[in-house]
Amino acid sequence: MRKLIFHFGLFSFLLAVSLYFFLLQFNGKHDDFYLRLTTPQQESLVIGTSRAAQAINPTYINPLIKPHQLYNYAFSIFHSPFGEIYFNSISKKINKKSKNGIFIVCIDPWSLGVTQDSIHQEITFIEKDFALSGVHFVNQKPNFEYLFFYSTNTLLDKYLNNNKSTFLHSNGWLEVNIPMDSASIQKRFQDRIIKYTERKNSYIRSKERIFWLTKTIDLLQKHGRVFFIRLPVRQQILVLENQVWPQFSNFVSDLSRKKQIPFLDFSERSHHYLYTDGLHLHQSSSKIISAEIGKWIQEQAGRN
Amino acid sequence: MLFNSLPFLIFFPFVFFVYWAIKRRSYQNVFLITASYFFYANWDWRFLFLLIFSTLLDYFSGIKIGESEHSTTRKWWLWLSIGINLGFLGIFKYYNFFVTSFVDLFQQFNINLQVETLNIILPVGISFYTFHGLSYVIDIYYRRISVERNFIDYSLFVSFFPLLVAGPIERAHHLLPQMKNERRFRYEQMVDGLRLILWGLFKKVAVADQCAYWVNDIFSNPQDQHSLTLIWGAVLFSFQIYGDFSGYSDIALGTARMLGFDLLRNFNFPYFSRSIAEFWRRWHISLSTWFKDYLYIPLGGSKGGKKMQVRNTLIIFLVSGFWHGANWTFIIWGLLNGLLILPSIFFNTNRNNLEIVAKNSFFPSIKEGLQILLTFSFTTIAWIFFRSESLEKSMLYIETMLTRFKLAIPENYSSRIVFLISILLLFEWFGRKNETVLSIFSKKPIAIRWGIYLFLSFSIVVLATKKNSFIYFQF
Repeated sequence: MRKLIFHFGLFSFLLAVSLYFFLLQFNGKHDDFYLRLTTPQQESLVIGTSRAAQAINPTYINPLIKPHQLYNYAFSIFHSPFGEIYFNSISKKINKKSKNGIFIVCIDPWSLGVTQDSIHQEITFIEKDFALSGVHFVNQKPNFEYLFFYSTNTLLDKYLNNNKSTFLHSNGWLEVNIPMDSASIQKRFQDRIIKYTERKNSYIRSKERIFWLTKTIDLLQKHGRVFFIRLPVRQQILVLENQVWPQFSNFVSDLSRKKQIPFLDFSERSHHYLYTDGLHLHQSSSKIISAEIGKWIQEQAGRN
Repeated sequence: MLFNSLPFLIFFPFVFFVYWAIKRRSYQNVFLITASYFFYANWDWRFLFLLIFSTLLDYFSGIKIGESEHSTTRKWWLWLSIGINLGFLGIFKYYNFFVTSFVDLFQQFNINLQVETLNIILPVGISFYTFHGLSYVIDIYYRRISVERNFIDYSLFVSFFPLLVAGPIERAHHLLPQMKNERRFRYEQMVDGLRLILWGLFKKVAVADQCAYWVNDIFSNPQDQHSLTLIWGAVLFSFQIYGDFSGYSDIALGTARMLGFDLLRNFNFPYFSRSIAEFWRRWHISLSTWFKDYLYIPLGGSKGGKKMQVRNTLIIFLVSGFWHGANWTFIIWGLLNGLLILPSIFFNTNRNNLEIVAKNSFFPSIKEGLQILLTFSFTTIAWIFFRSESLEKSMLYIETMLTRFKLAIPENYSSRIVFLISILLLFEWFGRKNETVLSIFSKKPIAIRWGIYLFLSFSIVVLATKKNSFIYFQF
């Protein structure tokens, strides 16, 4: 038995070491989320969905808010709408000792809503089916848990990923490189309109999500200053947003007054920016808006 | 709990160490039964009662048959056991099929029958443990074996977890004595078991599951594909089903071996067969021999001339098809294989090729190579029925394959799969004269041996998918 244990143990060790080095090779080109779950705990975070993930590039904010180092911890509308799951993930990602961080919280009506089945009236908290609901470790490299249990395809497929359209940077910003000719943009935009019209029809405002948003804010305020941002979208998407939640900006303004959080609303400036699909900002606009946000935070900090 | 899952990765080492830490055989058996019931309950605990009932039924039937000298009493207990066992199988597996088939049949004559179908799920492994129990009771009836009075040993024979859900279908005369013998821990046996598990996992994860991805795609809409893609899809399914089922069997044999048991070999390099008759001596051996012993021979076997032999052969292939599932696709698959084997019966060649191909040389002769290719082609065509959801779909598949010819590389061609299948075939060709494929490396230097084991293990990990159930669990 001893001989078997020794040989099997040695073999398992060699296998584990080779796997370890293989998994260390995974980087931003292999997965749109993985890298965010491999970095150490952070003092300053960007919170939100894919709109924030693609729009807010810490590279253009960090020089303006020195010595803070923002980290983009926004995922997608499926992974990270406001709720218990995202709250728990954020609380694991924050450096517990930090008291002076900066937190940019991007809010929109979709991240505070749920979909309801029109037949069975069943409410779906979509994030329960996605990675953040099950990943216990968010600061581990390589992150075995995510790669083994929450990858949609095999490790080899992930590693050989030929999808060169996205790249997740080490600061958490998701770079998207897709054709930007007018036909391609229009096609993607039409797809978004169809998807978000469908979503609008089953959308209901969620008290639970609002509760978890306030809990998230309370948590972040313990570790520093919070800033609310409503990111821009193309006019037609904004019309849909206004239909599901009229005067959403007023809701955010009320909350910001109540919680003493500065609020920067880009929703009325949709025509200033370029979008990949009407919902997500193109990287050229991401650069501009990130610098604007950085400057605004700088001003806010100067006021206090 | 799947063999290729994390729970089993925790379950089996725990069972292994506790089992070998127990010194007394009887306690080891009690522990293995507990572990087996836990393993089974992990699928669906409600069906554990069915398994226990089936075990009790055959145990007591066996005692009653063995004790009695009156042929009527013996026969009565035999048929009680057969009736109840097949009754359960009939209700759970075939009731809905018969009902819908009758309704469809009457509808042909404009008679609309209103018969309720049952909303039930098939208990995993029922076809396998039912056949275990039946073989035991029938063997006692024919006085081939003596009655087993130790309920623990008998229960373990029926519910031993490595073979519980998808075989191999064991025989009492082979496995029961092992339940009663002391087991000795032997390093070589453990290594052999580990090699079987490793090779089985490779076949399942790296070959079958990789093929499955493309097979599902091609078989879901055959009408949209061209000939070469459909041929490619059928070939991939041949390797998927082989990798899946023989992989499962190897893992079952390997885990059993690590616990000191030798199970019946279920596969013996079937794709190197030179005829359909040889193929069926090498594919799902435990089921083929079960049907031979408990159906073909009682029906008269080959006694009574060619006519009788043809009739009995077609019957066992039809029943074998039906055993696989309550669907006309399986019945046609069985019938097709039965028809394919008939020429060898007519020309008295069905007992040819008893030895593995190229036993005394490395390469097969050109004739043998062509025979292997032809046999593989026939079995692949038959697999189309096995894989299709309905007869209509299988006919559509074949029709499109024969008519939509286009000289183009299959749309779903993947060089990775070709590479993985090549490894499978290469290793099996080298290992075809051995009982276990990987034992060909046992005499190689440690660097080569471990290098190959590492490569296979690494492939399993990086190719593992989430959708990984075994095909034969549905039977």
